[in-house]
Amino acid sequence: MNRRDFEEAYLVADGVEVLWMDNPNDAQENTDMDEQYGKAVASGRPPVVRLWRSGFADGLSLSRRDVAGERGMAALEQTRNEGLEVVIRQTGGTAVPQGEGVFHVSWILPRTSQTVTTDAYFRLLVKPIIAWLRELGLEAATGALPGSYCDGTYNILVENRKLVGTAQAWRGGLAGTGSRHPGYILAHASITTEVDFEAARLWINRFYERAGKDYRMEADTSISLVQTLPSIFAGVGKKGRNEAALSSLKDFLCAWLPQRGVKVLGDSV
Amino acid sequence: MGLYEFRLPELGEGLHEGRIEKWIVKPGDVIEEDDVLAEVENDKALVELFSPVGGKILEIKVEAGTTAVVGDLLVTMEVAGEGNAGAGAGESAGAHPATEAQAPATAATATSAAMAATTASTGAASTDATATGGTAAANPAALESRAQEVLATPGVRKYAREHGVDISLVKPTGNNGKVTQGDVDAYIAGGATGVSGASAANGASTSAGASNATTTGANAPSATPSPAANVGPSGAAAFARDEPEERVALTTIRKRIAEAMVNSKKTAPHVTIMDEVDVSELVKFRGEIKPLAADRGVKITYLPFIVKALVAAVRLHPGLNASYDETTQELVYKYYYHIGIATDTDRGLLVPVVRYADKKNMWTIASEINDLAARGRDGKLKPEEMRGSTISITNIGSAGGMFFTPIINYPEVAILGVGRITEKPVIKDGAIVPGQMMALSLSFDHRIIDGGLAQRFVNDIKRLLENPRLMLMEV
Repeated sequence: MNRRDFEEAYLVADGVEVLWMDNPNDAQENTDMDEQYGKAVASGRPPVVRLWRSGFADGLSLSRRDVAGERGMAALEQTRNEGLEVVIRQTGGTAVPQGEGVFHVSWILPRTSQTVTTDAYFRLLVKPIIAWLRELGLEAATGALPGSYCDGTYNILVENRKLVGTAQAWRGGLAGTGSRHPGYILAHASITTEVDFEAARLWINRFYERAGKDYRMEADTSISLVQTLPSIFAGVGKKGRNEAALSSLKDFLCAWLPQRGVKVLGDSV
Repeated sequence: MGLYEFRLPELGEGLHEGRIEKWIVKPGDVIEEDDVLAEVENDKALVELFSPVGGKILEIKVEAGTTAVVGDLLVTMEVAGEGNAGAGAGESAGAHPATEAQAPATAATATSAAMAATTASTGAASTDATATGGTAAANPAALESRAQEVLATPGVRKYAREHGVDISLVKPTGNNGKVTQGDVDAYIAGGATGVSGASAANGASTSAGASNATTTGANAPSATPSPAANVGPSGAAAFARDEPEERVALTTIRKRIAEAMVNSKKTAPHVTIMDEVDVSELVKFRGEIKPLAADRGVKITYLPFIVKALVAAVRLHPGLNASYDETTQELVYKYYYHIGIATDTDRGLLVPVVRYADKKNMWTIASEINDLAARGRDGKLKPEEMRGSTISITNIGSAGGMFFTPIINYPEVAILGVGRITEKPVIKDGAIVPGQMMALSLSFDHRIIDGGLAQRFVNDIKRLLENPRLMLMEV
């Protein structure tokens, strides 16, 4: 058996808690909850897979690099003044659309002495999402897609368009009580149930123009769950469709992870 | 003292460079083991590099904002002992905190395996997904294609597969056109009409829409008598023509509330059982977590606890989380938990829905209830936010009431009424002590639910409210 076949079991040998935990009315606090969980996991709490909805207000999630420097800060302020909700996240990459049609999966794990690469954590993150999409009837694969928002090798693409963006943050030192700076790893995916990509393109490109950066998004590089599965989450409004998709993925994770040798801790289903 | 050279470790597979985003330390800083040295970004992973040793920073070799290659010398430190100077890039991996420590053999193997090209790893991810999605592989492609149009939980899909049922042929009755396990059972029993693929999903949507329309009208359980009920052409005016009166047309929302009340009361034979629960521990617990809640900006009432207790109880008694389909005379069990929260507003009673309450943390539920109530009062709730509840709660305690006979949010089969908490003497271990007693009233549709079941259901809710520690199991 190839170790990578069951990589999840190595990376989260003690199991994970699968939680739906969010506060979409406070977008920044909602985003920062990953950090709070990270600190707890670094200090001994079991690893967490947190599912959460984006802040309900339309807007952008930016990395700290995006807003670094005077022009970045000015672009941030201008974007906020236009009424968009902007959150600053701790993972890398570029701007990602936010709103009530977006949800997230955050794997929050202790930073260990195991020699593991960022790729291993990306695989841990994307494999169940790809398997979930397959169960929904979608063929998905990872790959870079120039012109997509927050482009990266571990985008999840459907119909050669981007459905899921991924990024990571490794914070602190080794986890555990003996560490001066107990650390954690956050592997995060942003899944679009329903987004107006043309509007997102305008917001994102305007931000980078103002910030003096070259990154530009092309709207036709993206796809949402509702676009590709128009009837599956129908009938309950954007927020309801997003919740139904999140709930579906949570159920899937709780069923799928044990099959991969990962114990799901607690009564979290 | 020795010289320690810290080099850029390999963070990703097939990626041989990383951009130094920011230095956390500067020359002259004295650091300890585990202190963070710098942030490096590598394929959207922002990685803090921490020092495997303590010492004094001597020289930073690579400026922030520049890209370094794996093995490049990033910083030198003065350390106690011999240091590692001279080990060179060939041993630079040793500078990586991850490899510095005693990595398990399996992990080491993994690293070499993980050195495959990114494209290969991408392929592996897809292949793995294929393998794990095994269900799809087990089905013919045509079925899989149709199955994608069907909304169902993985558990129900699995159940259908295990019973040899093509899920796309099952008539969905769940919320939003979701196929439930009961639907699959009904199909197996021959009780469902076969519908195919997309038409099933579309039909389900239509049916959900129709059902939602009914539910909207029914979103109005109330224990509050309408003041308008006392006014009418044959009322006071008939006996005292000179008394001042005013006729006011009902608002649309009030009309809907009235229709829903009549429909529910006329259709479902209501029975209400009333009980009290000692929530002294819950009162104490809530007091303890109030500062925490304040830190999070969340107002924590008793409702989130009641929601959690209710969900736990309906899981034990699924018949209470159901609706009755009069046309087919079928009970529709709901395997999701959307809790309607009756909310008093100036416009009338609204019932916004906390969806998937079983899957949400208490903080999330508290925050959501606050938000729904606030927006309900401001008239900002969207229609879909008031649809699809599977069982409801109505709280009259905040207005001071105790026991009452709530009207079921039809076509649901039960509603939990919550009254105020009152300090009363209770006997514990033979002694009379003060107890914080919460009043509960459960109305249920006696066509579907019998009194014994209803009382057992209330008992389970009481058990959790009496002992909030048990709710840890429900988080």
